[in-house]
Amino acid sequence: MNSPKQVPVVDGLFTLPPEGPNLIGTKCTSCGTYYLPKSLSCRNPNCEGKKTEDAKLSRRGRVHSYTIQYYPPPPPFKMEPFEPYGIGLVELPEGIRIMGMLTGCALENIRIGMDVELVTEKLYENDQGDEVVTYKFKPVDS
Amino acid sequence: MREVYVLGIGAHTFGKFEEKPFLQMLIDAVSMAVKDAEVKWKDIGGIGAASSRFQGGMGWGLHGNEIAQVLAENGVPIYNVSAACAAGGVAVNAAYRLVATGDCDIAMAFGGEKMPKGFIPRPPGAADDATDVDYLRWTCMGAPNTAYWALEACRRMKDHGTTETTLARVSVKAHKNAIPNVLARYRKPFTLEEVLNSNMVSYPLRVYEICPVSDGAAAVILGTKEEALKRGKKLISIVSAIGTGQFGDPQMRIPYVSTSATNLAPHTSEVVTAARRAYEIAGVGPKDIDFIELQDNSVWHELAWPEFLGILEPGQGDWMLEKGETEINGKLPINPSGGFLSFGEATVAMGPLQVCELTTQLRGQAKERQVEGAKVGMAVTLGLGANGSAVILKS
Repeated sequence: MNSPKQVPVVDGLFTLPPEGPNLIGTKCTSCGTYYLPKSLSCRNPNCEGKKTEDAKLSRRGRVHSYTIQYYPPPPPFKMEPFEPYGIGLVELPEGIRIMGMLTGCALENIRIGMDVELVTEKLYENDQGDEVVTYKFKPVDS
Repeated sequence: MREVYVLGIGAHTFGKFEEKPFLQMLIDAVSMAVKDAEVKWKDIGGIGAASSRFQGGMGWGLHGNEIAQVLAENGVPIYNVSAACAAGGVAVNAAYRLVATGDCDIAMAFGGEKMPKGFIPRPPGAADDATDVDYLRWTCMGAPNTAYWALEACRRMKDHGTTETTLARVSVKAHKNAIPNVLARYRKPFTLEEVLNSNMVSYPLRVYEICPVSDGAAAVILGTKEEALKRGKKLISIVSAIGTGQFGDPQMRIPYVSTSATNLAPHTSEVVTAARRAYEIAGVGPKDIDFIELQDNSVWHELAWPEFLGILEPGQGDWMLEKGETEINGKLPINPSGGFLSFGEATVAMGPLQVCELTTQLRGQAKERQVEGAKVGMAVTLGLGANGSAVILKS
């Protein structure tokens, strides 16, 4: 039996396995600042270059802070079935912190300082029977 | 630049007023301020009006024009300002500058809002794709505003040892202050147990630790010293400054999904920038502030912001609260009005409402919630788009 097709919850933000997953942002070609999502320019006031290019962000990072979402957020968020989940603020080596759902960790075991890696995981199934997936961060053994 | 003084204040009670037209709420607040200032409409030489998002403004945020066209069409300059929840503070800045620069001798600022029921809808014209951060924060992770404040609160627990009990105590104190305040929406005491037993929304923040949404309106009238003296007003000077966010601010700004880890700018830089400008213009330092009204969207804000503003040392907020020093009779009263935990957030009405509270305190008319001996009060707001405002009032 074929596994269901996976589709990203939004196009152009992250790639799927087997090539990915990677978050796709931009990097300023002058000052090196990274942005997510892709930025049309560079907001560093000391940077005169302003040209950005697509950049794959690191898959690994460290939890700078987190929260646990206990009530179901309104549409356009969709998650079936809903259960409380963690949202991490994850610091990447590029000098940027990224928000994303946490997975693979009991809620009571989430810690600041945890090393995590990027994965993709199903949010819900769409009308075509495809799995609609988002990016998440999952603890890695350090 | 000329010195500027508060001539009059007016505020509509915050709450839910489903039957009352929005424009009537604005008219009520503005009319109270006119009466309190003892000015005539023909004396008002300019208006700073906050553009609200959900009501009125002819679809263009023309709230100043609406008021002029219903109350006094006298041809004065009107600045309709859009700065989300900081728009009330920016409107005060417009009125302040009208008087300070000599454009006119008396100016008005006001803001009002009626909030929709339930969740705040997505903005009209949104792109709904990967370039639209508000779309991403909902679709990719379901992050409501409370999640952003919770990320800051959770990090504070790590950095400064803040406990869930301390977070809850902020709410207890806020609601206690609001009990005698007729303008507040919630005027009943909350016990520590009630707050700690309230539903967890976004850990570590519970439902009684975040501000609800309300309807409200507030107005202020500012003028020169001569105009204040002419009316026999107690002299209460005001300075106003505004700022925007800086590159490298570590704040996890709503509705973005990423932020800088470089610490190149101060945390909540839009508010800090505004505050530093206000200190400079007023000729005071952060340690001179006797009491403060701040935009407590969550209990975390009340602990962290006085530290960001340089009034307290990093981590001192918890200690001050636990020792009772942020109560009305403490060393640094915070939100003697009860704050927006007790008022509910009525977006663009908040800046003018804060000026009303500071003025009431400095006039010595705050009755049961009077901060004794207060001479210097400060207030700050923060709005979407990294907008900040600060005022310092002195008597």
